[in-house]
Amino acid sequence: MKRISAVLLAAVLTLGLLTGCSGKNDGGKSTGGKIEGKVTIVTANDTTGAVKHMLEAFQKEYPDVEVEHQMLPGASDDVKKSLMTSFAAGDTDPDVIACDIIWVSQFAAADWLLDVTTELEAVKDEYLGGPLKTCYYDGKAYAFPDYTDVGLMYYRNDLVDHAPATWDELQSMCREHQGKDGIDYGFVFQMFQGEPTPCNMLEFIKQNGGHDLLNGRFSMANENTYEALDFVKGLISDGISPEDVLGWRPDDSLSVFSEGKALFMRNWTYAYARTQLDESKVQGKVGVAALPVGPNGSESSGTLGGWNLAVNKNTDNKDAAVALAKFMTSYEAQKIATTERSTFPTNKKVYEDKEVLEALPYLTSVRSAADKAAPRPQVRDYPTVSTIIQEYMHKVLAGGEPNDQTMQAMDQALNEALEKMK
Amino acid sequence: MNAPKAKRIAAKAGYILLLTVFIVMMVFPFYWLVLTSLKDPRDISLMPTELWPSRFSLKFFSYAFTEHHLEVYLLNSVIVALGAMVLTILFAFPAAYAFSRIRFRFKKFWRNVILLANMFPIIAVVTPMFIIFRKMHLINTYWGLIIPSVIITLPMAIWTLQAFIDTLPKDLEEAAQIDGCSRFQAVIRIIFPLAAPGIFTTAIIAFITAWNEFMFALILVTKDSMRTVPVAISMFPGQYTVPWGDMAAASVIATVPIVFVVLLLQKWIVSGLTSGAVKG
Amino acid sequence: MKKHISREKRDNLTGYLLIAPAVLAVIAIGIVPVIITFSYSFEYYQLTDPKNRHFVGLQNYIEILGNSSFWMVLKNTAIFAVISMALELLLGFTGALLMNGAGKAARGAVRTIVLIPWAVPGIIIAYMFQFLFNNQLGPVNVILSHLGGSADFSWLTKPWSAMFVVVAADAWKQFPYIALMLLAGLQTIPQELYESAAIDGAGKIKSFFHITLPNLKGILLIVLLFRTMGAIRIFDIIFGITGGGPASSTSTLLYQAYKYLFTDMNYGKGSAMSTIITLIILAISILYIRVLGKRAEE
Repeated sequence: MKRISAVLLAAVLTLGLLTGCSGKNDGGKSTGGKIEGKVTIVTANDTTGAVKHMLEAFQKEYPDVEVEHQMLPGASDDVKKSLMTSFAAGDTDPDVIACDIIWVSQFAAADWLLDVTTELEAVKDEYLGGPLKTCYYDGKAYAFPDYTDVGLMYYRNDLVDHAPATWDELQSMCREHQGKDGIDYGFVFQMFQGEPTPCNMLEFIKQNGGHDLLNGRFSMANENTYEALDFVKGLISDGISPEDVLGWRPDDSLSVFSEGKALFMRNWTYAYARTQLDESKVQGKVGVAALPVGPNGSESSGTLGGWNLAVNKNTDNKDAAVALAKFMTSYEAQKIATTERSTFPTNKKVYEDKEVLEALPYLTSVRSAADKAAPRPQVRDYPTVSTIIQEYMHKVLAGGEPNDQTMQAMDQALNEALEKMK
Repeated sequence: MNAPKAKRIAAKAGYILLLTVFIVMMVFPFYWLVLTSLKDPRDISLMPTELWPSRFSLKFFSYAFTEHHLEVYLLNSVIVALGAMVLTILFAFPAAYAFSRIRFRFKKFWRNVILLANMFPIIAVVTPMFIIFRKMHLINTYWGLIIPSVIITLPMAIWTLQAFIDTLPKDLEEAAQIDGCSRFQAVIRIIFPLAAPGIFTTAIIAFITAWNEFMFALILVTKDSMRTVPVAISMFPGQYTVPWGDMAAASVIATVPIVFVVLLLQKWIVSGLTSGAVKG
Repeated sequence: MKKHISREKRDNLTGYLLIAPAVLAVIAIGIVPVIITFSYSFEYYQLTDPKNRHFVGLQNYIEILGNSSFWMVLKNTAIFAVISMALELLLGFTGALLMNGAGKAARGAVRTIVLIPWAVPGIIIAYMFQFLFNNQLGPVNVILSHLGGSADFSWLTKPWSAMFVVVAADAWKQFPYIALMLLAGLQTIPQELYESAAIDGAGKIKSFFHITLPNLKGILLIVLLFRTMGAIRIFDIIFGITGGGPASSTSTLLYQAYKYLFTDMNYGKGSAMSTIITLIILAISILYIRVLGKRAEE
């Protein structure tokens, strides 16, 4: 039936109407070790021009390789959708992709990415441990670490002289300052039902000594988690955080903070540069620190974020593609990226570079947070896990359902999903 | 002043009040869109927001082109909407004529088949289409967007056109046929010119429908340079940012020409939109 | 030779030739894909696991129907359909009556204004409403605070108010169409009916229920049919305003199908969900056609 209908559709569609053809020949070949030909690289939107300059540097080193750079504007889910559809169809393009660290295991499990274990192993000592780990799936490497990111605490250093170390301190500092100096809210974060929810909520849970995966199973139904949920609900009901945070993405928090209306903000590293723009009302008044810990927590660790560069398994120009991915994550390229794009390098040497430190003086102070960053569950099908976590967390936070039953149900749903991934 | 007169004035005042409230409600969202697009970037995140800005700027309009390359998407949208419009009319006119004028077997059945297709949810169409278009290399092409648009525009177009042709007097073409014209000639010489306003209206409605189409354009395009305006605007929010001003400016650019066309041709469009239904 | 072909046969041939392009197009790009979707719905077909594709019978359906989230999105869809339709009918009637009562010039003006939402892409309307109801940056809360309300109401994070914003956006886009249809209907009602009713002493309200409504029954049914379909098929408004949130409270059947298909890349399950939607739509169409058909016979 399927075949007949497909043929019918094809037949009718070709009925003298169509000559659409997007096939093209980019038969780049490597002959005798010389790297040449054409490669396509797809990255998220980059308005800073950093990627362009990185590619120019690449061209200097590999003049025989022609690079086509495509940008995909949109939220990372939209970028991912486009990439997945190309991969699933077995396209040879794009050859190199920028991918969120949470995609690597899924893409690798689907057999879409080129195994680059040998190439990465050769240079792995150059990179920070956390980001490096995100390049591996099932013992093999499928990507090169591009830049890293971590959840941080931003504070108004004109109003308070340090960031709170504990949740209690956070609450008391907020109570002291709210309603004065234009401070409407004590603490803003982002809990939109999407990736912000696992990023922020797992952070709260881990700051309180909790965990997600333990010995290969999800067991989040425990006091540490309940306490974290109660803390978040308390922030909202006490008016320390606006109820809106439940629908916020990172930028929503940032705009409130930049307006000078919040004392503290949890956000990614990108936020710092944005608070220092001319239109920001908190220019020069922002400090950065690690996130505060809960009563049961001991060490602060923000959620690990960031992007990697991976190579399409079906690439028709493997040598050039690998060379490009490797170059884009090298010291030279990351230096450009760090200074121009204000992203956090994964290459250790960049943190010691004088020019870089001049451009981004706060780099060293964040390095330790980046070192300690905690990854989200590294499972084959992370999106499913994320969707479940989002759904159940919002049942508690927005829907007012009880902590224990909801979290138990979530554990069960997560472990069932985990079973299916085996 | 006597009582009935007072009552009449009160009724009139009530009517005008209701009408005003109604119009304000209608216009306000659009007003806000335009206002946002004209704000100064520095004021966009003022809290609380200003209902009437203290200063205006065209910066968001320039961002729409310099940062987001709206011109690329506009061109895509124009090509797709025009293509869908032409294809729709080419397919719809003969069918509408046949449904209106010719008696043939299972006429009602075929008409229902076309109307039924209009009811199907696009979500049930788009996945196989995506897979087949991939094989045919139609993803990221104009044809790959024009063809699916037709499924949305065609049934409506046939319906509207048929209703229009139904209103044309039959004797003219019959007379022409008696005068030795073939049926084909009669259609071309008599019906086509008479139906021109109907065709024009149908074409405009098809154009706007295709211009506004979202789901096909979202799914059947994976390359930024092939996106249409509505999809491109939905991709303005980046990983972290939601650039409201840029989105408002781009939206204004995408809708003002359409709204302008609608205003110019409103009478025809209204008759086109309602013709099929009133006849029932 | 030609003379031997009867008029009837020739008409048949011409008729079929003329409708062929349209019918074939509709079959190829409308009906055939729906059938293919139907066939996918019995497969394990996951884009991230393409080599494992195989027939699984009804498993996708069992999984969907066995999950509480299905009943939730079904409920959401029903709530959305009923409330938006009620609101659109109310606004549509108001609009139509206002236009009908207006003078010729005013009628043109109102008609023009009413057409604007129809011409604006749904996704843009979605963003317009998201911005209007944004609690930090939107004007709605500012206006409410001038009227003595809360300046800080969080519209999009509560299930009921998020649903309200979605419904409002949809109603704003769709009611013009309803208003125009009803206006066209109103104008076909002979004025004498009202005049004779007035002579009999019937008030405005009474004549509305006794003359206006019964005469608009046919159009109302068509409008209801179209809007029921529209409510089930709504996508861009939800995509743009809430993305189905908060806590999936604005996620509809179709939005859930979209998520299965293009977020989870699960073509089997997504196709099963799409097929369920198609079946619901078919059932409603048949129901309406029955009712409409009966009316035509009367």
